[in-house]
Amino acid sequence: MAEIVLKFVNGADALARIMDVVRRAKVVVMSANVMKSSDAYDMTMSLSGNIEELRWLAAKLERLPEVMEISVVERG
Amino acid sequence: MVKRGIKHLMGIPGGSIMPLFDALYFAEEIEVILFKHEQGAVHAAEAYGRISRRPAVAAVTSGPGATNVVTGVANAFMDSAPLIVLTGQVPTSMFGRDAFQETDIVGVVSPITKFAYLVKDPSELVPAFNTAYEISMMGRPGPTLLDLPRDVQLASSTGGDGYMRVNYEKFMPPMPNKEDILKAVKLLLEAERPVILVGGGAYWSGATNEVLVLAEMLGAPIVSTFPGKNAIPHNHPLYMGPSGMHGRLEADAALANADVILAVGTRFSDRTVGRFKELADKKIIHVDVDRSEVGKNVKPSVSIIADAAIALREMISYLPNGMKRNEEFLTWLKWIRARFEEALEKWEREFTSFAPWKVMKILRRIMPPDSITVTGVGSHQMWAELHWDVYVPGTFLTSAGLGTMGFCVPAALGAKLAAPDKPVLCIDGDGSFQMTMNNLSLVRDYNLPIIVVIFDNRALMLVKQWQIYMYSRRIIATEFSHRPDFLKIAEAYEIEGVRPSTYEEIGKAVEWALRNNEPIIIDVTIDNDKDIVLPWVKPGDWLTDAVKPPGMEDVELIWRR
Repeated sequence: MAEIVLKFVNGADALARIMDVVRRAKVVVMSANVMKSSDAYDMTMSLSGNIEELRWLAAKLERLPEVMEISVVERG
Repeated sequence: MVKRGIKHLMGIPGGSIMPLFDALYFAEEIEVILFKHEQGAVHAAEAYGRISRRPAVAAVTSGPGATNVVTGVANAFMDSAPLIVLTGQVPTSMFGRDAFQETDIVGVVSPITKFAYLVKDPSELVPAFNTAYEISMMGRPGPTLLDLPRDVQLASSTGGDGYMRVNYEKFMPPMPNKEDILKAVKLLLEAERPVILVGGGAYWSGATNEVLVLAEMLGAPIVSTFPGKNAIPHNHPLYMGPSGMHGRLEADAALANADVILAVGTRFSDRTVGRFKELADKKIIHVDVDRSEVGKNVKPSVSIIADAAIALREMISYLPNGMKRNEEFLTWLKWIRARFEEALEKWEREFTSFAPWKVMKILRRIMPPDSITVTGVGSHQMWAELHWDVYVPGTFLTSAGLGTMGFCVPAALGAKLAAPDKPVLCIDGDGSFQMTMNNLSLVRDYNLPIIVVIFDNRALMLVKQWQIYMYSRRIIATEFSHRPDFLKIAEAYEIEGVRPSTYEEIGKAVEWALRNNEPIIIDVTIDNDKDIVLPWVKPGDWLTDAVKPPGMEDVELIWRR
């Protein structure tokens, strides 16, 4: 299990691009929460899957220019 | 675009992109190149970008115009090539109403672009273009797309210059970590059979010289991926060729028997290594500008996220001179190469018409070393992978990752547009040629004298090869009729056409085209019963399991000393 926490810009189009990357990873999305803040969107996804795959997914998401910040919180 | 020094725009106009084309009417600095199909325009722009090392622009209308660019965008994405596509879009007031020629193209290309953006506000237009341009080239290159609603194109804007708010920093390659460099150097010093695997990233980094210096210091054979062919001069004595599905046997043997692999700018495609299991036993140093490539397919012992040229230079600075070379290993690889060439000579006698590799060798002998070579996709492309020698890095263009049939003709036109003084050769197959041959009218329309050689086996031969060997000879939907006559196609486009009977005639036809700076289509008949591309590592097999050409049955690819 892990949480990927990210901040992104460009609204729903960027969110769709993020989900396009998540769709191709061998993980299960347990929950996803998106909130608009003043200048960006904050997103937290809880994911289950192999930790290597989760790290790879985070690295892949990090490539998107719309993603301003990203971190992975590994749990158990 | 004018400020960026863009000289050509490739595309096709239509209702939703008319304001942009109308603006181009007044922009004398930019020549609009009208293609016959949007896919062709995008392949041409990709090739233009690969040759000029900066993104070129394709512009098309909404709906079918936009969806027709998808293959080209995916191709540029898979081969990490710079490109900007501008698509027209219906007015913002019509969004989501299924308006005429409305397609959500940003949604469609989202997974196959480095950046895609729907410009809803005219003030964002210039910043969005600046962003698309820069991101396309920064770090690992890739395609970007801007979707431009008609009302946004028509509005006046006071937005001025500037960039959009996105994270640019991530595309600047970090400096290599010294600890990782030292770990890599230690592995290389301890290696008995080090091998350097070079991918397309080495070309974009400009790391050719560093690869060669390092290989010479280590006495390490250089193996490339298919796109990596473009980064290494093939006449270097340590270059073994590309490895993988249709790679050189000496390259397969080098990679399979290496104890340490220094991989530079490659994603470890299954096409290059066959399968991944055996790589787990090797020590791998992976240098890549893209963090997400490291550990994706193969777990490295050391990963170095950095620009390849800088990282290799650092390694070189820590390596001592006069290192011991494994001459025995190199001699063995060269022996495999000699046996391969010997086998080809015997195999050639079985061909009643032309042996494809011999045609390659004749073309290579006649084409100037710095000429540009483009291929289509199919068996001819695999013969080119095996037998086409690249002498000057950056002069070989192929559709490697996506394997897009139809790439050759438009890409050759784009390359010629980018480098009008260089001869451009398009090595195509009959199947691949027929997918985009409609763009040939540009040869005369814009004076783009390319040389097209069609390896004409009247089949989707590579698929047929799989049917023969993997589907018990159940041949279905891979054989073409004799239609069309390619010489008549040549005539229709006012291009000289030749169907040679001898190798000599092929050479003479190419020499005529070069001498007169004239286009030509050379239709080379290949016997499709014999046109089986070997060596061949079947899908899921390991490199040492390669099916070898006749006469090499006794040659093992496993190092036993």
